[in-house]
Formats: sequence, structure tokens, C-alpha cells
Amino acid sequence: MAFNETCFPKLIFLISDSSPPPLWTPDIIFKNAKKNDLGLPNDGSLMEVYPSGQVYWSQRIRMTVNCKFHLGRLPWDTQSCGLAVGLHAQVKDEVDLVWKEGEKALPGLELQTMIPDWTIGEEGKANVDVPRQAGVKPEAHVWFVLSRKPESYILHVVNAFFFVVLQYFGWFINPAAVPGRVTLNIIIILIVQKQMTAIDNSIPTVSYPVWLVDFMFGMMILNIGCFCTFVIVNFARQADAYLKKPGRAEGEGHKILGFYKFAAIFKVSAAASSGDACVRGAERAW
Amino acid sequence: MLVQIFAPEKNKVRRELCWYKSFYQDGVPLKYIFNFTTWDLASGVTGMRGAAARALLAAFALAAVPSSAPVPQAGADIAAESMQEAIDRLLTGYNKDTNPTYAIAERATASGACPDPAPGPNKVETQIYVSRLNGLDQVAGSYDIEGFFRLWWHGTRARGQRARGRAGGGVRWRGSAGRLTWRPRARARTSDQRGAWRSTKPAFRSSSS
Repeated sequence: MAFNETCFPKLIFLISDSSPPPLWTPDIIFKNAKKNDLGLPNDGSLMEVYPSGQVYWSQRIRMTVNCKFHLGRLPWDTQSCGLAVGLHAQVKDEVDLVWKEGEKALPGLELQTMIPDWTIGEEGKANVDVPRQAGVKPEAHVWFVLSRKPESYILHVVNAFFFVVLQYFGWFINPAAVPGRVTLNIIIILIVQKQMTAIDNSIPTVSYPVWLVDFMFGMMILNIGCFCTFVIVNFARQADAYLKKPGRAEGEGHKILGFYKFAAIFKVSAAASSGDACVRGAERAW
Repeated sequence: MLVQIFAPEKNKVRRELCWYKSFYQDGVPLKYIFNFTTWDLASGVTGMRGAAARALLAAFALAAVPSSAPVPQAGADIAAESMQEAIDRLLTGYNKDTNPTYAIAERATASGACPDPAPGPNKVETQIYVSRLNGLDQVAGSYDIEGFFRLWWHGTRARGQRARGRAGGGVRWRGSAGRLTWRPRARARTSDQRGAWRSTKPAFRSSSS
């Protein structure tokens, strides 16, 4: 048959479940993939063979990839996530796996603007030779930087700060309004506790300090400290009122002497550790 | 002068302008040479403005068709056969378990000599086109990526397999049966499940091959 070669520049194979690739294909593995759906039957894949012998194989891929997050600077952290492509059986003497020269390893990555809370930065790539028992294995590594948009966590920080301020404003409420002040204190402590739980649930359990967790813990300590101070002040007020109670029998003093001394000692020690607004408030209440 | 025409509904044109059936051979429009969209024989050509001029142009175009349009043979799909032939030639004696480097060595030793110089490693280039990146899960320490995994390499055994056919056409490889059936590919771009594709799978399946 006579025919025109120029009309047929390439052969195209559409690979499907019933028709595996008819040519040799490299045995690719994704080293840090948690789950990998490569070339699912219904996705199909495309293989093109050019007259020069060049083979192009494109497969649809859906993958869940491991990425270790370092959250020490949360919420002002940046992460580096990567992907490693390697060969399972072949060694570098037979097949050399590299990223496409002169092109990005992950084209299209810069177009991904739908990731909430994150900004995608530049990518880096490297072709690595990994020595193994069977020989040197070629691997292609790529990584990209993710910068967190801290807005959602900043809200927690600002809220926690204002709740502490609110807690301290409670000292301007009449000390006699015990139910109101206790309710205010407890509610604020519970709110901050809930915020801490939400943050804890949004990050993995880590052994290193995390800025946001430490900050929230500090806010919680201030809130609890304020509440404890009010409890002690209220106790001292009751002791004072009891001692000044008219008609108290003379011989009764020794019964509450220890109690009174404790209240007096607390007053002195509280004054000594001045500088704390809560303590100054306690003195005023006293 | 050849007047190019546009016929958006070729079946309608076929039905109503049966006297133009020489335009078609085996259901394939050879050349669209006139604008039939305002041409309605059912309502009569007398109701049309410039009908005489149009008829003249049509007659002129008809005369131009046989010399300008290719004439395919009835019932034959030359393009598909050619591609099948090329694929058969490509895969004759092809062992897909042998990587390209070993294939060079095998071919050389078959002719009685070791390859000189020894073949180097076959370079496989890769790239991942990212169509979607989501599911950043800092608790699980993972992210989801969706796209196309691309590989390029050079297979010496596939070299020089030029063949004819229709550029841009597709062939569905059916293993050793070699049955080639073109059909449109559809893919649910946002599907996460394999089953989702089935709902978009086209009902049309060509049986002409």
C-alpha cells in the first residue's frame, strides 16, 4: 500500500483496564505516597509513540502524600512538602529517572489558589542517586513551600487576650457580688479552655513547644490566677467580717486566731508580690 | 472560485436536498460548498430571495466537488487499518519485559557482537501536572494531589515506525486481538470515585470498524 507518512506523525494508544500498555514501561513507585491511584482503569491513560522512538506516557493520578508539618512557629509557620518518585526494580545503570529538563517538575501547582489558609511558594527539584543493595537507584525529588495564612489562628490569639483583659476588669465589680464575679470568671475560663481544645484538635500531638499552644496556656494561667486570687480575697473578707463581728466573746479569739493569722499572712505576702493587677485588686477588696 | 458552505445539520441537508446526494459518499460529507441554512425546498424555492443565484452557485459548486474532494472507498476505514498495521509492525517481536537498554544489547548480540560502546542507561524523564492540590491535613501530615503523571523515554525498538493515518486520531488497544475501535473519551474532571466516571461515559460506541 502506498501512503503518505507525513499524515501520520505518531501512534496513539489509549490504555484501559482491558488493554495494558503494549510497550515496556518503567516501574514507577512514589516513595512517600500514603495512597496512590495511578492510571485507574476508568481514567485510562495515553501512550504516544513517535517515529523517532520517543515514547510519551500520560496517566491520571490521584495521590495522598505524606508531609511532615513542623508547627513550632504556628500560626506563622511555613512548611515544605515533597514528593519522591523512584524505580522499584531497575537500577541507574539500566534506567535513569530524572525530572523533565527545562520544565517545572510540578506544572500547574502555581495555579492552585483554592487551598484555604495556605499560600503556595516556589518549588525545588533534584535528581538523587540512592545506594541500595541491588545498586544505585535513581530518584526524582520535588518539594514546594507552603506559607500559612495566620488569620484563622490570629482570631484565637486576640480573643484569648481580650478575655484576660475582661477577667481583670472583673475586679472593678463590687466584691460583694460574689455570684456575678464567679460566673464571669468561670465562663471566661471555659471559653478559653474551649479555644485551647479547638487548637489542640487542629494540630497533631507533638513533643516540641508550639507557640500558639504556649500562648493559650499562658492566657489560661492568667485567667485561673485571677479567679484564685478572688477566691482568697473573698475568704479573707469573710474572716475579717467575722473578727469584727460585734458581741463576739473575748475568749473566742483564740479559736479563730489561726484563721485570722492565715488571712493576715496572705495579705502581707500578696502585698509583697506586688506588680500583679490581681493582687492589687485583692488589696482593694481587702 | 469555490464557494465554501456551512451545513450545521448534515442529516437535514441530506434528507431535504436529496438531489444533492452526490455531496455524500458513504455518509461522509465531501465538501460543504453552500450555505444551506436558509435553503428550504419544502417551502419552495419561489419564496426565497435570490434563489436563482443560489441555484447557480450550487450548480457551480457541485461541478467543483469531484475535482477537489477526496473520494474514500465505500465501507473502508483506511486510516484505522493503517494504524493497526503500524501497531502490528511496532509490536512484532516486541518483549515489553525487556527494558530499552537490554533491548539494544540483545539486538547487538543477536548479530554476533557485543554493542560498542555499551548502551548507557535509558533516560526516563518525568513530570506531574497538578490539576488540583487540596486536602492539606496537618493532623494526619498529608496532602492530596490530583493531576497527570507524565513520562518520556526513548525506545529504540519503536524507532522508524512511521505509518500513515489521520493525525490526531485515537486507537483503543485491544491486546492481541488487535481490534481497533474509536470512541470518544470522557472523564469526570472532578470525580473522586471511579464510579463517577461511569455516569459520564458516552453511550455512543462506534461499530464501524
